[in-house]
Amino acid sequence: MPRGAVYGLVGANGAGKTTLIKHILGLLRAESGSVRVFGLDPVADPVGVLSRIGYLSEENDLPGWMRVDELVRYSRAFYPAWDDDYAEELRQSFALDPAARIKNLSKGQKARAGMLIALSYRPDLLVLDEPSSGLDPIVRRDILGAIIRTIAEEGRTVLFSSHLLEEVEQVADHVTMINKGRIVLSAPLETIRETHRVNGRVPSLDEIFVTRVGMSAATATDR
Amino acid sequence: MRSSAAAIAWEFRQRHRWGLIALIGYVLVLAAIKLVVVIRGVFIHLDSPESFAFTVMMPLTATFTYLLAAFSFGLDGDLAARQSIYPARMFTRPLTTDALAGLPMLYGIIAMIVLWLVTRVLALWQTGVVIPWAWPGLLLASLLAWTQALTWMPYPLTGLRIIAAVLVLSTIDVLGLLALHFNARESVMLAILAPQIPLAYVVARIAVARARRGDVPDWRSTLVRLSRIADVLTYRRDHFATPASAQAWFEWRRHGRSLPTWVVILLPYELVLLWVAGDSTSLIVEILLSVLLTPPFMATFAAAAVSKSNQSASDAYGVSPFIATRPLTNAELVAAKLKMAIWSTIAAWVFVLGAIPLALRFSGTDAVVLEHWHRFSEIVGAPRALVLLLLVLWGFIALTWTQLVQSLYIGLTGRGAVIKGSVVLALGFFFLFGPFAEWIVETQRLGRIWSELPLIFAILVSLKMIAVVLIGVRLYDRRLLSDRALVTWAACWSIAVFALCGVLVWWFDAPHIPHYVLMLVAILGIPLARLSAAPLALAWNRHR
Repeated sequence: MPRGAVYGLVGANGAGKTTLIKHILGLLRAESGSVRVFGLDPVADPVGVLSRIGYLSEENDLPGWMRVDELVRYSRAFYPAWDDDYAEELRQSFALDPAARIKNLSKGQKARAGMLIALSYRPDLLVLDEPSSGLDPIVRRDILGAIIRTIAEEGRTVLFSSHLLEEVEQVADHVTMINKGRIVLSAPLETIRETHRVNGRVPSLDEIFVTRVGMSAATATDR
Repeated sequence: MRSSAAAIAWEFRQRHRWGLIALIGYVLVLAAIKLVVVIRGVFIHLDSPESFAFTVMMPLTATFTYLLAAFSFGLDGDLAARQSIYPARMFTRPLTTDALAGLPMLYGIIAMIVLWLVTRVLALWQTGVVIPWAWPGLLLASLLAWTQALTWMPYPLTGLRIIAAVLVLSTIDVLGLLALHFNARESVMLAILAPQIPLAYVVARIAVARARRGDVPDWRSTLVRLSRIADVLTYRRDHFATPASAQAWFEWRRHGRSLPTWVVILLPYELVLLWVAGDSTSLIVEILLSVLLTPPFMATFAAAAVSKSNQSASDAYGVSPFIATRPLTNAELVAAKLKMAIWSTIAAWVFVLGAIPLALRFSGTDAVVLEHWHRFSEIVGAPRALVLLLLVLWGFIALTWTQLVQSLYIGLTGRGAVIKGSVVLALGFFFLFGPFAEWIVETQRLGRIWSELPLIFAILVSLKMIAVVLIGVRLYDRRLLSDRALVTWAACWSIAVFALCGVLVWWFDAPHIPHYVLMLVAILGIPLARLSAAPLALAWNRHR
């Protein structure tokens, strides 16, 4: 992945999106092949890799017993590049009460708290696993806004997986489609649109996805 | 399947078919042996306690524990959680709450009674002891019914389920032991035990009804002042100096307070017995011993409680992504857990060591204890008596810490089967330890075991060293610890072993106890293998 790109990772349920992200984070050991992030093996050198990655989990497993300000203090200890002013700015823009316990936050507020700690140290790579899954449009807008802000900062890379292909179309400049653990398409969004043009009409990413994944499934059945 | 009752029975049978097949196999083997022996006309007495223990007690206890866990759904949920363990998926079935509570209880009771009858008919031989026909089966059924009721009940505080279960089940267990001791009549026992099952059913019915409507009582809001005090004590306003200190704080807040809390809740129940002990030295010693054993006993079960990272996640026993993605090495994550275990152990023992003198003083039993202490000091000398006391206390405290660490790293494996299996094994061990110890004392085998101790210690040391070498090689190969950390760890362990050995040699200044035996004791006494395995267990879980 080149620096500064926004990668949209799309695929059906069980296609392997989360598995790929877990490999990037070093949460899975590769049975064959190798994984390199910033030129490092994330399993062998978790500190070197994870200190440069901001991650928002699909499960949103922030510790429920912590208060928002405790979460911020706890998280800042791990990242020398933590920016207190930026963290406070994000907290205010997300309207998070510092004294509120995580477990008492709504799903959207939890996602915002997760974004806060994933962004406050300006990571080189932002990994978002289904960040807007099950969230209302306002929270989705906040998350997309945060991604766009991250892109605006020079040299930062974003990898995010999503089922909502409209979202991917809005922010991604490179799309990777995976199906049953294999990449079926990976190219810049513009190239994908151009190559799939039918009778002058540019199809939506939804249509391209259905076509590509359908073709891949048919090929697998033929084999 | 034509009925929901049959569907639930099928689910139990299907889920536990391998356990049932093993049980049926064991019973068939016993039946075959007994048949052959009876046909041949050989007359066998099973008076020997060891044959009784190995033929009857061990399989019966293991099966009983397994059935207990299976029919109470204990293998499905978190024992320490406030929420009911009863599987929520069953609440959406078109069944009445009576059926939801009654059917698993009915099947469990039938299984327990069949287990006892099969054991009574097939596994028991002629013995010198009169074995009753009915009440032990009813005792097993009562224990199961109460376990179901207590595990299905939602609780207002985390960990309260374990305490309630230990108290209620111990009471019923003691009832059985007293009946055996006093040769209670079958009719009396039946009269005492029979009402237990309907009573347990009523409690289970209430528990399932509350769980079904999502009614989980919460004392945390009632005890808001206490929680505020706890928050003030642990609330962080300043920044953490290092990632390691942040992680240690996290572990303490997440897991560290469980053991001290459980100990504080159990202590009054145990110490109050001192008020009825009177001048009975043996009773006072037994009470004090049980108090001293409480922290290591509760620490043994910490794995099931402390290891769940996320109740709602599908992989609840795994390291949560939130923790797994902290930029810390495995060794640093383990070190934070070990520090938490030290603080937790110290906190639990501060309560124990503070409560014992107070209870002795106010119950008036301190005079008895002091008298024995003075007599002992006169025999061995005051310094030796004091050192022995400190050694014993240190032994209990170290045992608590190692049990907690062992529980932690069993939890660190993140494998539900390993965690639950360890709890079942520990329970089985505690069930068997009493009869086994009694057998050793009653058959006067202490002398023989004493003479074989050097050999037993040597075998144990060899096993420990083999385990250490295997773990050390694995740690070195996978670079989970730096060379410096490995060497420092080995050096610290060696110093501790030599120090303990020196104290033991000074204390046991007797020609009939060779120094090498004391060295073996010191090697066994200072933990090494289990602690070294912790980074491996975490790496296994963190990078699956």
